[in-house]
Amino acid sequence: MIPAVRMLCSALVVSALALSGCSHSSAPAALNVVEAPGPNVAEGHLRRQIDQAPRTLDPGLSVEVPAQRVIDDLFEGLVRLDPAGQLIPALASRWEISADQLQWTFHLRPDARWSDDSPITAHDVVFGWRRVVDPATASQAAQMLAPVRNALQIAGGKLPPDQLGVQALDAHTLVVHLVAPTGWFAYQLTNNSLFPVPEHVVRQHGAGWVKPGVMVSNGAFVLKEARINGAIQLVRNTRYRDAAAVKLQRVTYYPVGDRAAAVSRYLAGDVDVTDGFPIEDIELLSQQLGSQLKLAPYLGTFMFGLNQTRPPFNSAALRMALTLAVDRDVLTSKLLHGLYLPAYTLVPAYGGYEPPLPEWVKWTAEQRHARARQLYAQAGYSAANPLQVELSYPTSGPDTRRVLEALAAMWQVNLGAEVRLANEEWRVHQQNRRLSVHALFFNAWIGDYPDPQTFLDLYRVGSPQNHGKYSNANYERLIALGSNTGDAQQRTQAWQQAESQLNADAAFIPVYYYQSRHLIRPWVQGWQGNITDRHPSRDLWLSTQVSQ
Amino acid sequence: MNSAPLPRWSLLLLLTIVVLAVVVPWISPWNYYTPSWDELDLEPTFANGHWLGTDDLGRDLLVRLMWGCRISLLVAVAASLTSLFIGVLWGATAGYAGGRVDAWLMRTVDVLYAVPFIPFVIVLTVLFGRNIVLLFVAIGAVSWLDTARIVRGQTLALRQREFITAARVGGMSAAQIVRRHVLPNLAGIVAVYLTLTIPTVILVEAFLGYLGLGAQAPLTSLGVMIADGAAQLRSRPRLLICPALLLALLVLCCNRVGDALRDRFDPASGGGA
Amino acid sequence: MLSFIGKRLLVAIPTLLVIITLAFALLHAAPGGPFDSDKVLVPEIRAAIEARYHLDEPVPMQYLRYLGGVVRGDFGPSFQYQDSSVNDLIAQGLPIDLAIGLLAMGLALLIGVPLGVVAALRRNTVWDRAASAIALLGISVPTYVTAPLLVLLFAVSLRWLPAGDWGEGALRNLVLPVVALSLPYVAYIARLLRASLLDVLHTPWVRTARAKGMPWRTVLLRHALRPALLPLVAFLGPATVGVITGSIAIETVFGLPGIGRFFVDGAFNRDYTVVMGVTILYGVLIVLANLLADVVQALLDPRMRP
Repeated sequence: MIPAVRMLCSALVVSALALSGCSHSSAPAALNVVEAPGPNVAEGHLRRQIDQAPRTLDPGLSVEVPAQRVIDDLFEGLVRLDPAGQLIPALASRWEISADQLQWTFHLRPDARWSDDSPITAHDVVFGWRRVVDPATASQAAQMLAPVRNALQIAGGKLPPDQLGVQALDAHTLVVHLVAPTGWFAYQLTNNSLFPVPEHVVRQHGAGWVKPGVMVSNGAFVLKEARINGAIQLVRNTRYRDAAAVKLQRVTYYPVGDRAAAVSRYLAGDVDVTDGFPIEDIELLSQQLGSQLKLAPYLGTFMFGLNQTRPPFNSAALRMALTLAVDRDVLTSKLLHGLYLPAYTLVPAYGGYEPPLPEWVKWTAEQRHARARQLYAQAGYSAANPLQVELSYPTSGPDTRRVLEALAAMWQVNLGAEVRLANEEWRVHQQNRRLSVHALFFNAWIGDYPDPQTFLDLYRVGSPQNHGKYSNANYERLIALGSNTGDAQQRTQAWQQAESQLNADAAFIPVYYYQSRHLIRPWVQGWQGNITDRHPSRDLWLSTQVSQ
Repeated sequence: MNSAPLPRWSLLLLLTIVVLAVVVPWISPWNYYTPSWDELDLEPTFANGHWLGTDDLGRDLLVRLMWGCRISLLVAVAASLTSLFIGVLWGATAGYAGGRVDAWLMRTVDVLYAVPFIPFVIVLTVLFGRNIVLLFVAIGAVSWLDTARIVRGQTLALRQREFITAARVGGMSAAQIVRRHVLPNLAGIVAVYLTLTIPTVILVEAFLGYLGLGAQAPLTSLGVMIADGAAQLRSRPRLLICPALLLALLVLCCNRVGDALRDRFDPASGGGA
Repeated sequence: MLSFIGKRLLVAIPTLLVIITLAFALLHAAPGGPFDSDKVLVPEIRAAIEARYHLDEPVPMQYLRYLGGVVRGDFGPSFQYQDSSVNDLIAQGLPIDLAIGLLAMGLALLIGVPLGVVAALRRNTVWDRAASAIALLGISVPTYVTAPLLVLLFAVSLRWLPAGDWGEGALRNLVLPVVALSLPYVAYIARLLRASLLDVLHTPWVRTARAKGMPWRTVLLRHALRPALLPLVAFLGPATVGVITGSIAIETVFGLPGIGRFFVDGAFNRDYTVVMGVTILYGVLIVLANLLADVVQALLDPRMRP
């Protein structure tokens, strides 16, 4: 054998190795997908994959989405979301709101107990909330309590924690004083930072109170074992107030950060539920797994921010030209395989809110491009004098990068603008964004609760998220109106008008709305897609009976 | 120096790859950056002119592969040169001089091993901006340490050999001895280690992308293509196999050439053994 | 020899101090702090949190405070993993990387050394080419490709082994990560050994031994292998430290709770104390491993005695 041939042979071994792995997955028959449930089904043991290991399981400290899944199983707040994402009573059986909407009175269930059998009282809620805003706790979740009177002043160290607008009238009655009528406050209560924590345990063990063996909780499950970056095991909480409704015996969470690896875990039969799969694999997986793929609209928007205080993007015409030149349907259907939905506004549509679409949504691509070129020229740019600008983005893998490459090409082709991609390491990007260094930058927002306010707040003057320094008096007026009204319909109207104002000003460039995606084994029952993408294990069960 | 046979086929293949990397992007009707929405994920055929097919943005894979190859070859050359100059000189000096010099030089190497790479690169990009030269500095900075340690060990052993002692007694200066007697004896191991560094740095370059350094999209490199390809190896194995195969070819060729260089420098061997 | 080791250990203290200082300076010079995030904190809250971790103090103050802690054996609290100290994190992660790293290095030696010896003895034959090609496969395909491929083959298709998870160190959980981690090192070991063995095989004393009619086996084991191991030992010092302080690719693909991820996540999240803690651990190990490598080299080759 001549050397080159030999070399080629060994190179072929590489590709053969690669192919042998791939052909198994590209041919559905050879994939050997387990359809028979494992022994875990009979044991009532649900195995879930999550994207990232929770950095902490302390409900007062955690600010992460993957951690919220585990905390939702371990703890329960005053209210909670049902499988469809609707608000229902939980620890509080009912509540009243005062006429001025500033005072909320919650009545806690008197029979509710912690997992160590001590009663859950309104004092545990007060303790938990004060702890979150106490600067000594150093909780990044402190601003979640912003609607509660004095919360921000306490977190900033200007008032002592006992000045927080929350008090226990008696063991089972809690009164909350708000800064303004906050129509969405009930939703905000589903955030883990407003969950009660067991005062007696936290006082005794300090920061270590969330360790396995020490943690006392009030959710459907209790912590059995946990390893940072490793598996987290929960078992049924027999003292849960609604224990009869819980069908699972055990839940194990496996943190797997790599989406392709998560799919392998699933296909190997090691997990029953995944928190996602690679976008690129959607066709292959839907062919192989069919209805095991679950997609649902998600409360998140991918967009670009523009710095409006200085050239070039202080020109509204230019901002509008850029937004008109983006072919969103091409992007979402071709590159993103229909997994995400084209976005024309800030807030995604969901049950109860319909965002106002700009008029140009109905135009043909040609009309849109023509108008874009007209505005581009009006802003003073031409083929001889093209817009040259950097698009700053944090490096987070190929998915985002490909979208940005496609967008830069669209601006090049449709307008002649020269948009260069400039990636930055995550924290460098975040710092530069916070200091408003960028002209054109990556931005994405996942809503904290299903109310447009969580999005609209981004573009308020003085908001820490308003990196592009958008400022419009009418917008401010509408936001104030929406925040201070007690009338739900009037509030929705104010939000819609505020969105229209943002659209008219091209305050940012909306690109697409996210969708949540999961792989779910057929024997996992009770799963419903919902806008918040929260699926507490207490509402799930395992059964080989046909799904309803 | 003697006349061991050159690995003709490997050199030819290596040369072909380099020529293709230079020429293909020039003469191809496609560029590496413009997406083509009607040509996503085409399988390779001669009819459509995409000999390796297209990627998920409809861009010609061959052209992208060759652009990537350019960047990666540059990275490989830069790392090899740093490794060669700094690593060999550092190690040979430490090994030959011994004593205090050795201690200072090698403790410095210990320190550099332990300094965390990620903040180092981030600080570099902040201080000097996004610059392709920085890429080489960052990669060079990590690639010479092993070489220095290996060379030092070999030099230490060589120093005691009879012919070096003879040269010393014969009145040769240290620099002369190192140049004439030590370095040629190190060439074999250094050549082999260099060829091992190449695939490593090509893959490290892809990681530097996460730190805001490296080839800026839509430009790409072999390492980035392999990393991206690995993420979609289930659905589009072609996107991984093409760059991985090219890298494997490069590595094999370089190693054959490295072996041949070793044979040529081997002072004792009579060519083909 | 003992005084040499003693001296080197003494030098280790200033070496570590330099490492700590440099790493500390680099970390604090990198833009972005531990509390920069997508959801920007209200400035007052941010200030309060930073004050809680003494991040509002001048950097030299923070440095002294940190050094003080290190001297007492306290590596501080983690900013990211708020209910754990850095000591906890390392104590939890290190055993996992030790197990996987040492096994992988052992496996790499087990495969790499024979490949290297065969390649050198059967130089420029098909055997040599085959051995080198096998060795090089491992280095031209990165771990983040081989690891998922192994998973696809052995976990998804054949179902012989689990696709990931530490599983409290069960052997079946260890197999795939250990194999994937060892592959690149096979290449280094085989290629370095081949090259140095060839050098040694042509030295006068080996030729003399052969001329005296000593069989190859004896020559190899008694005379050639010892000096030929020198470059390998020099390489193995840092390589072993690298492998036991965690591989981010392996830990990510297999979902292993090792310290490699703490370190990389820590660096990306500006979790200063975690990065410093792992850096110090790494520094101590590097100093020790390089010392050990130098001692082994001296034992292998008396001419290298200091």
